[in-house]
Amino acid sequence: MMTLKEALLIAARPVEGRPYRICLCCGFEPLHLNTFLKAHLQLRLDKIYGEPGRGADISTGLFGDLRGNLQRAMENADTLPLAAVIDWTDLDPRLGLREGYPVGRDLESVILSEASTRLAGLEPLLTGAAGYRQLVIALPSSPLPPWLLGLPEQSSILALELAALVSSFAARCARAGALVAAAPPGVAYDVRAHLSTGFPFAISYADLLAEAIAALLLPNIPKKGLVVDLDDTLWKGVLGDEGPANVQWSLEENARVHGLFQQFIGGLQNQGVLVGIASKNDPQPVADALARPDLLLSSEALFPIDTGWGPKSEAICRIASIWNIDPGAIVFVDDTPLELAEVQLALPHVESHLFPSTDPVKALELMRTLRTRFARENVSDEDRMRSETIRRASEFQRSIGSSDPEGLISGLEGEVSLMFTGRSYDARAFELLNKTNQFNLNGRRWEESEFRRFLAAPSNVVCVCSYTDRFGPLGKIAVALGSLDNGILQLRSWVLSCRAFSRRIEYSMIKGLFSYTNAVAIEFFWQSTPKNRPMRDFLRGLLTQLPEAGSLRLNRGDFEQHCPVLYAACRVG
Amino acid sequence: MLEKDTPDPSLTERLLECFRVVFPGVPDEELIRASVTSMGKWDSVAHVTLVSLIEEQLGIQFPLGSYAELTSFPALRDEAMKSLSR
Repeated sequence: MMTLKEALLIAARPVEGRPYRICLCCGFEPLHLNTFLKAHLQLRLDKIYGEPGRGADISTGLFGDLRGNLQRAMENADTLPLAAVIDWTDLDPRLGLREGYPVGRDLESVILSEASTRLAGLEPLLTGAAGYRQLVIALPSSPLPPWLLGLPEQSSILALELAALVSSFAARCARAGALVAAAPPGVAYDVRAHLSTGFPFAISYADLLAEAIAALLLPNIPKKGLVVDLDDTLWKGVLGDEGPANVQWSLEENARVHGLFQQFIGGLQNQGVLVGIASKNDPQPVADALARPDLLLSSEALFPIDTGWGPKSEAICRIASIWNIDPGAIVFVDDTPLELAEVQLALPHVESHLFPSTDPVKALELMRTLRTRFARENVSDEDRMRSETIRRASEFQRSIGSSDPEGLISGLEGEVSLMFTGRSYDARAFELLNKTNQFNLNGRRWEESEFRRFLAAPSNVVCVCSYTDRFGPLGKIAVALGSLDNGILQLRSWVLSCRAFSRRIEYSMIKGLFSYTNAVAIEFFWQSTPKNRPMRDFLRGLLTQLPEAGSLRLNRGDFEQHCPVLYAACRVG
Repeated sequence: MLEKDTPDPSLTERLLECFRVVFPGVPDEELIRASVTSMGKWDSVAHVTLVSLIEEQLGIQFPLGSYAELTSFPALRDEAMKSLSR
């Protein structure tokens, strides 16, 4: 919990550079909510996004005019992220405690009708905005007035009807792409503050609500992979002693906590979380146990399975290398404190957790913790096929190493699809731009609002590339963002997932970009980074000189001269 | 033991700390004499922020309806003293 004093001090700290801007729309004076939101946004920019000096700039609106505030925010050509905090009084002022009015017999039906009309007025604004900007909605949390009919223990019909109205409204907004904030725990309403200042929330609630909104606008960067032990973790028992048929995970065998963990891992697999095994065992019994039909997760999606007798930290490094991710993006779970200690010592950036095999309460707590580490707002098709594409890429890389590469590439039966539709927001393209390091033109990261703005400009060129071959589909694996200027395509960002290397997809993209835009040259906004050597090597093969940074021009003729044979079919759409 | 109506030096310092947070950069000599009329930065939002901050830091609640009268450092100190003695 943050105090108001702490929030004020964080919000007032010196800032530098471009601020993180958002609109906060509500019908009440946002007062402390504004302060806490600014503080939480700045904390997240610092701790999660590594931007310690960056400030948050929050635009607010007029008192008592939620709809007008939303309309004005929408009219702003900028696609700033927006947080809409709805109070009951925005649906009918008579649902608040500040307004005086006679309580007639038909008041409930009049209020219900008014609330329905007002929600209908808000809905197109919010569902429309959700398509092109980040939008967070917080629903009413104050208590309803005390004059409602019924027993004190009874939910009033008006309360139930209002809750139903708001719930279905929120569901429609969420379907359109808005993020609806879960109601924070604790007492929301402060009648004293509301009557004296017009601010309806208790300070502690304002803090929690602001924290929730900030977390939705600037989410945690999820971990990418989970490495788990087998014995007394994924199942009860020691495989080497008891044999594959006798390790257990069922309720009848008093091993349900392991079954629950398997189901939990299955859920993570469905979200595209990479799950690998690090086990001190021989390979065959492990394969036999994982082949058991009563296993509660997909053993095919466990990749890689690293068995052996060396330190677990070395197994984790091998797994990280196959996944091609930083070990810091991995969480490790094992039932043995000694193994955890060894990993923590050798790989301090790997988050390690003890699996409490004899304590179901702690086991459930662990699963809740892990859920927060891997939580993501959306799960794309590429997320779901991630484990499979890594397995295929691994097979492909092994093939490259052991045979004639040209022969292998020519026999891939590859198909490159370049989509230039580009106006609508593509979460996978945004993700690629912000997580790809190696084949990255300049290391530039994009904010969601900035990316949406880029998409909205008709003169900009947005190319999203998908790929498939006989090893299977890789999904969307590359993005290029540019703009045409007098026949020259200025390429501002260009990334290609490392899983798609060695297939000449980058050449197909350049060829497709020339063809689609009719450009006579491509100007690359190049910047060398500590990690983008694959991009550097590619450009060095096409250009005579490669400085550390600068605008580099590649003429169409020069490209055609240097481009190797492209075997993959290329579709442009 | 402080006599009634004698400003408690620790209370003055705690109030000053709140004023420093809401009006950063203003010298203490100015803050201790500050009022809504003498300080341009003391607008309605700053007022509610200041009063809420004092309530939080001192663990008190000013009487409902008194906010509008607590428009100077001395007024806030006097009311805080009353609230603390209640």
